[in-house]
Amino acid sequence: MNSIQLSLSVGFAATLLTLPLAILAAWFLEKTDSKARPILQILITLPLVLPPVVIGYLLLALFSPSGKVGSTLQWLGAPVAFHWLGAVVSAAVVGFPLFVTSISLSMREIDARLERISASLGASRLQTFFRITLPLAWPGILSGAALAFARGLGEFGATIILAGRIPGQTETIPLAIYAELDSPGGETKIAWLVFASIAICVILILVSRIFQGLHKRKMESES
Amino acid sequence: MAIAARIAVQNSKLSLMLDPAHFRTRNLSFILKQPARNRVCVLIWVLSCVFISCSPTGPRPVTIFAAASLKETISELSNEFEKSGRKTQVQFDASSTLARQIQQGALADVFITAAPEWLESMRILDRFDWLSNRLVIVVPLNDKSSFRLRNMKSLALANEQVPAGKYARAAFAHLHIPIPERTIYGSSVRDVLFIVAKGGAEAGVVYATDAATAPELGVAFTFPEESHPRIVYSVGLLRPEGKEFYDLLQARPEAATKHGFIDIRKQ
Amino acid sequence: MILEIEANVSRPNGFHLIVEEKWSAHATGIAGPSGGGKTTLLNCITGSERGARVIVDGEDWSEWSMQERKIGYVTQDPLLFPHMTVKENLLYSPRASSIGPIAEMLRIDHLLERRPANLSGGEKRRVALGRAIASQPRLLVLDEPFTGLDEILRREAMSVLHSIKQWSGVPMILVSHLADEIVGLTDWTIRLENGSVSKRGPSESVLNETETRIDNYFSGIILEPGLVRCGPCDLKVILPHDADGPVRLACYANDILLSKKPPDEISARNVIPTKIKLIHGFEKITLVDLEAPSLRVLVTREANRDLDLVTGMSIYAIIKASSIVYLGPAEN
Repeated sequence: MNSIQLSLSVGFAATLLTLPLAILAAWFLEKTDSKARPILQILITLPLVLPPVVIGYLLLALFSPSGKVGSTLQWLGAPVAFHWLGAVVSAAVVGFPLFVTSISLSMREIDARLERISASLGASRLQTFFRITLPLAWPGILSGAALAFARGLGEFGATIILAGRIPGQTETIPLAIYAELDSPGGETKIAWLVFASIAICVILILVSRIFQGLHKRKMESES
Repeated sequence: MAIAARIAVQNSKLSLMLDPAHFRTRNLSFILKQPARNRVCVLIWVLSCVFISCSPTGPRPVTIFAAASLKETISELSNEFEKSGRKTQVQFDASSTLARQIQQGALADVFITAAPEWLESMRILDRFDWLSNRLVIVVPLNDKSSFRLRNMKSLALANEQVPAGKYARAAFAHLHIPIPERTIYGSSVRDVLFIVAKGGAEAGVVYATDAATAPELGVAFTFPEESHPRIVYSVGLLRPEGKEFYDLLQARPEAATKHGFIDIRKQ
Repeated sequence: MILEIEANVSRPNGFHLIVEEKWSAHATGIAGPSGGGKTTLLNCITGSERGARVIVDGEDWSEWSMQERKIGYVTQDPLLFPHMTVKENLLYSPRASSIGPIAEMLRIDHLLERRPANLSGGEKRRVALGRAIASQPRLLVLDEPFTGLDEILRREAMSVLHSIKQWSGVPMILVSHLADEIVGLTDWTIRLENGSVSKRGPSESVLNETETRIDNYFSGIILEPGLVRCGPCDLKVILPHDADGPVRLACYANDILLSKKPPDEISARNVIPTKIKLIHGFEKITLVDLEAPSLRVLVTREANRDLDLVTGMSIYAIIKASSIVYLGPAEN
């Protein structure tokens, strides 16, 4: 796989993997009264404030092949450190705060009374979540996914430490650009990769906007 | 009559707005009418910006760019050099990376490179060939006995442009040793050491001097000298400010040989 | 329905609700001024406020969640689910089955495929009501369902609620700060003021003695649309389309005008020649009781003095058709 394909596969995998986690985290922060919320908030914000290289280093310490977690994963056939999954984890971790924040915001905007009405009509908490909260939070989930994907796309520091530069496995666009910096005549390759990055982001924005527009129209349609 | 008067008043208002002098005085009076607190805040902000943008002054330190393998050697020498009163600033990285930075305008007084050809494309005042090295394969100490040169599962190499990376590829080709499909690239030989130490690859190609700095790794194979281009560390004097340090290097090859480097003049 | 409630709620702003009541009624009203605690008491009953003791027909609801209490809760703001059609809203409750008859009765059956964004205010409220009823509740709770509607819509809504009440047979609690809604629809009323019950009893008596301005209740039979025979006189009244047969009406004492001479070319549609039966003078107002029909009129002390009203005097009572409130069909 070339870098562009790798970046896309890593981006999609990272976004898909963190989707349920992000929704759960946002729901926990916005719709429960748990006292553990401040702790979760700090943990979620950490990847935003830590330098990516530090994040990579911490992740490497966690997933090191010589450690318990790393060796178990290797035995299960899902090695993280210095493998494709490592690139996915790096992208997922740095994009997570943006994902959760976006979903949180849209959940906060949902009138809490709607959820109370749902309960009074006999729906369980789970039913209320899937029938009311989730559909109404959808725009936030979409834009959060786009943000997380875009952030993961540009991730360098954590990826290079946790996954390293392995052509065909972990060499995403930023890593490929970095590698070409020292090559004579690498400018054309770099230009092509930069153009690809911009194109991916533009497509991302457009797709996200189309989906948001569809949602809006659905809410207002007469059918 | 009344209508004419109203039109006249409106016209005068419009012309007043368009009059530049009037415009200026109106805005100036707006600024001056702001409460004192707001004006002080703006003033503090402006002064802070000015303060931040002014760079600190003082004599510039001697800037040395050195190949990554020379970290211990040059650090010791620069500490010694600073005792004479001049400050130094050393940057260690792959020779190719440093060369690119210099070409793009980075300010360096002395450049010690493992790939002498880089000096040819630069404006230099003087140069000399200083050291040589041996190319080796390192593995974690525990895995030394189980290492099979022709059956590597994964390999860590320096980036293609880095001298060590180039030499490694040449050596493998010369010896007809297949490079494993799973190859992980480091930005410098030190990075390769890191990768092998962390388990990112079964083995890595570095210089013999680098292997010595990593106690948890051991040398599994030393490349015969004829399998790769000659390893030469050259020193280039780029600016007159570096003259004293440049002379120091020339006079003190033992500072490097004690770390395992080979004095090129004795080769 | 027999309801027993024991609530003790404190709010950080200093408000306390202390209620200990037990009563039996099919339709209950909760009245009182804004901020008196009506919504808080309602929250205790619905379960969104926990900690109150609530026993309904012998069943202890105190530990039950909102979901378990099976209450049809209709809020002042319709709060329809914006991402669902009317049909999906109506069928939302897991307990809901067929919505055909409900939709028909509420006259929203032609709106089933619309989304809330395309409904008018009145239509939204009807859908909210339908949704609550479709969930097969044990108890229907309505929080200020008519507030914010204009007069005509309000009367229509009240008659709709009448029909629902009769059709579904579900016991009801109605919260309102307007007296005529409560009196018309409920049997028993609790009046809340400053967090405690200041009055309880049959709806008409509770509200008659306190802040309500309604003083006149009478009944009549509809002769033709807009005309009701009340005893000796025929009144022109604004009625909803489907009103028929014997009806209950009411009129504020303040909305009746008195004139010594028959008024000439006046806009009011009802001019009733009658006699003054009794005059009660108070510090600022005067209440004048008339005979045939037996109406109570409120005038200022000055007006009383200027007109020089005396008992036995012939007088004309003037009432606008829109001042007569339709309470609902008269139950025989």
